[in-house]
Amino acid sequence: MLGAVFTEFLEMVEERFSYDLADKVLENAGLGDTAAFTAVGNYDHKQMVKLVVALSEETGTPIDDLIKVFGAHLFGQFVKKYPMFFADNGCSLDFLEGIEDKIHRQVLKLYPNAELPKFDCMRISETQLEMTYTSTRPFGDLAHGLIAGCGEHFNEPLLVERVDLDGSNKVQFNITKA
Amino acid sequence: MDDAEKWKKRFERERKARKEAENILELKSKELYEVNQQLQKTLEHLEKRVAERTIELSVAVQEAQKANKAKSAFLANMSHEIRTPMNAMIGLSELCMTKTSPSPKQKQYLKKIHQSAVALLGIINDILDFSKIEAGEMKMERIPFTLGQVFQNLTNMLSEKVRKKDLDFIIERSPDLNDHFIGDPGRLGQVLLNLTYNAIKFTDTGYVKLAVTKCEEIDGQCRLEFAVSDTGIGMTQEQQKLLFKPFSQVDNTDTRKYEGTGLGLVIAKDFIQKMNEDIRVQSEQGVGSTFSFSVVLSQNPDIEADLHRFPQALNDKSALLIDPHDVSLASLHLYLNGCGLNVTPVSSLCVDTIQRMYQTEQHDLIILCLSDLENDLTPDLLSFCNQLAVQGQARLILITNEDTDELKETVTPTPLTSFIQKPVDPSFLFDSILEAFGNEVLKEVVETNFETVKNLAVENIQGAHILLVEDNRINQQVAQELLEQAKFSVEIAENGKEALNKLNTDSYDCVLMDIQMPVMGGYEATKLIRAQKRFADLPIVAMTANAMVSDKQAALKAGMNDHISKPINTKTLFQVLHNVIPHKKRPIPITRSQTDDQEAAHLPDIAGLDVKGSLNNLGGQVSIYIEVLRTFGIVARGLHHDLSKAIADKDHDMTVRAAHTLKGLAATVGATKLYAHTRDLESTLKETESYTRCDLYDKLNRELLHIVDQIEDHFYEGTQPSTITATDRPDQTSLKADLLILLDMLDQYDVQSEEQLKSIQRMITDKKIRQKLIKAQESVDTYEYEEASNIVRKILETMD
Repeated sequence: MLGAVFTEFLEMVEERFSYDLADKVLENAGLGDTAAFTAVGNYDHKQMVKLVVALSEETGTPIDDLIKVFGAHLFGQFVKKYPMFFADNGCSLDFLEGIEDKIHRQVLKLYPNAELPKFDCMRISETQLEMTYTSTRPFGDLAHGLIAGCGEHFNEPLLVERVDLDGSNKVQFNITKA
Repeated sequence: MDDAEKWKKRFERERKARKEAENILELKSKELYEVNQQLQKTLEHLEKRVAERTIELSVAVQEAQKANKAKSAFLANMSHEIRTPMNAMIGLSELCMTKTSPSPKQKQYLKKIHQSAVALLGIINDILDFSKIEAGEMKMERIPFTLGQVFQNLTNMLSEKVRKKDLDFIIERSPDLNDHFIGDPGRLGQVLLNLTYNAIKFTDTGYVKLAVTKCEEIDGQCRLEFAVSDTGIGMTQEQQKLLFKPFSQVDNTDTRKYEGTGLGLVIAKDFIQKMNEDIRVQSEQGVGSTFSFSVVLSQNPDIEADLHRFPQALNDKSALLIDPHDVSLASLHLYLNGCGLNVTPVSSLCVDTIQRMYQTEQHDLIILCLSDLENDLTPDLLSFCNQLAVQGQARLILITNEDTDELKETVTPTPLTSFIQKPVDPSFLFDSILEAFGNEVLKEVVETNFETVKNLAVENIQGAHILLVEDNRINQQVAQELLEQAKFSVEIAENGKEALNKLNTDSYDCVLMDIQMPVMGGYEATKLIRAQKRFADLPIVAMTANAMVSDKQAALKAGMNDHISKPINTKTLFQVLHNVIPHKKRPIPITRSQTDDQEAAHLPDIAGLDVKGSLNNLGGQVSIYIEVLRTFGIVARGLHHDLSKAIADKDHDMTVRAAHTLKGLAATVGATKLYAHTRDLESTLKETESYTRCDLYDKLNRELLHIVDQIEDHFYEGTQPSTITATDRPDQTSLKADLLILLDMLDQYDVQSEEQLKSIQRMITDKKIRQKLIKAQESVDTYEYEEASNIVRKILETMD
């Protein structure tokens, strides 16, 4: 999993809660004393799972919700970090539809070894998109959060109906623009 | 600021630095990616281009191969197209020289036509050879040949060139060298021609020498070393490096001075390398060059060693060898000594020196080499030597650069005089010396030397019935005459179909088949012949103008036994016939060739002449005998006059000389009675100083006039109807008119006057006028029109 996901996660914890909580989460996750991440690294996704579980335990918030919130946060961070991806005119659904083609292709240029999830899209109508997330990692929720974050960025409230096809590894999202 | 605050600040600083580093890294990664991408693109583009080029290249290669094939086909075709007319030119000019009686001038022109045609054929062969070398198709032959023939061809082709440049061309060979080998004479000759031709081309003064020596001999294999050296311009080391490159010439700055295709040496080198040897070069600028190579040749096992040794009969003879050129003098001296002849070499042309030398030891033979007839000393020396021959005191062999025919006008032709044109092949000189020493010696040699060669090819197949299938009339004539001369009987079919018909009605020993003919070609005809069981073993030999190896293969594939390329080489033809025709004794046919018929008709039946005997001495060559007889008719009258005058003047020396010369001539033409009379006269003259006219002279006189009259009658009346009726006899007026026309023509130096003169001669019956016309004829022959005109004027005066 890309290091950026880890660094953004920890920064979110630091911002929304505190530096101390972030320290605690890192400690509790049992990643060892020297656990440290850089955005340009590549890390085992299990460590992310451990970090999310640790945060959930500290805050009492359910894991699913946490991940979803993180997803929305992550989207915001992406917008800040890679504004060129968002330069095109278009709506949220257009953007989601182009992730595979535009964004993942660019990511692979920088990180040729990255194992990216797959987003199969089918545009049902102008306002409707059927998007299926498939990954070796169970982060359907993260995807869910990212979709929400996308809606927020474009200022278009999105109605997301979620169908788990294979736990959190394969999830179909039926997205409708309100 | 409390500690926590400080630490947080430091932490934020570090985090910022980390993020900056991450950004930079990403940026660099992206740049790297993009450059990589660019590279990838370039690579793909290049690969694409390589792929495209590869395709283009293979298309180009295919096209080149196609073009090359077309070129080969074109060459083969061209070779056919060119060789056919070349065949005609070479064959007909040869026939014209040997079978007709051209004037000396015509003969010279014919010779030049022949030489040029042969030279042109050489160039064509050069180009063909080069393309065959390029295609790797060059095959070497293995056929019997003689070195003498190779040298003869060489000298034939070079003599004109040597003469023009006033060079001395020397052929040097060791006497221990056998003459008969098996190998590729054409290629060997080509290499030698090339090297000597180049040597002559690049030499302006001095000499060009072709030397051949035997290096070793093992089990019938002979290693011969050939060296062509010259005293020409030579080459620097750098120039030598350019020597064997195709189309390159050493002297590129001045190509107009030394023209050439630049292929010769490449071809020569390739031939020699085909024989697993190499050409070596030694050269120094301004001094000269030597090209040498050695080849291993098999000795011809069918022919006994024919080393150049003079027969016993010549052991006590001595010869004076006069040559102003030291190199060629030394070379000939060495050779003749090696052959067992007692030779005294002299390099002086001073007649006093020679006279002294001759007086101390009465030499039997004088060999006089003259390259420069303009030399002040030459005329005296020539007349001294001529005198010796005319007087019958010594045999004279004249070796000159001049055309033999021209020289015959300044030197009296006697039976003791022979002429050799430079460059002289020592083995040819060897033969000439044998001939000079007469019939007994000749006979001894003929049996061991000449006949073996002749017989090898012809003896066992003579009389064979040959079907010549050929559509071209000229080629028909050439082949037919060649074959009939060698005593084959020849039948002609115009095409394959006619050949099949003839085969059904008559039986043949061999078929000579042209390939490209109308109605039915050679391949088809052969297949149809072979389809009949009874012709399974009939020898069929293809005879085409195509010289390519593939043609030979095609001929063999069609069921033919062998292949001869045109122009027909007589030796090859007989060699092939010898190989394919079953050997057995056959009756010799009566030759039906037109020219032979004519010649046979020319054979006189003159009382006092032993035609058969002297014909035998001349190797049965009718045409030569007729020529000799004709000359005798002309010369004898003059000698008769000299003799009568000498006796009347009481000039003893002159009388002896004239009698002696007459004796020699009488022997040659087989005038037995005349010979006996002159011999008696000569011996009487030796006994007595004071000779006066007596019975003996009268007898001689009668016999001589009798024979000369008959000879003249024969040659100048032979074509005339034997009985002349009164109405046939031309009246004086029309004769006079004809003579006036002739006079007019002569005065205008009209070449047609010869024809006019001949037609008048045919009408004349008056002996005196006829004899005068003969004199006129002789003058016209030598282009002395004024002289002829005077004679005709006198005839007209007598008629008035």
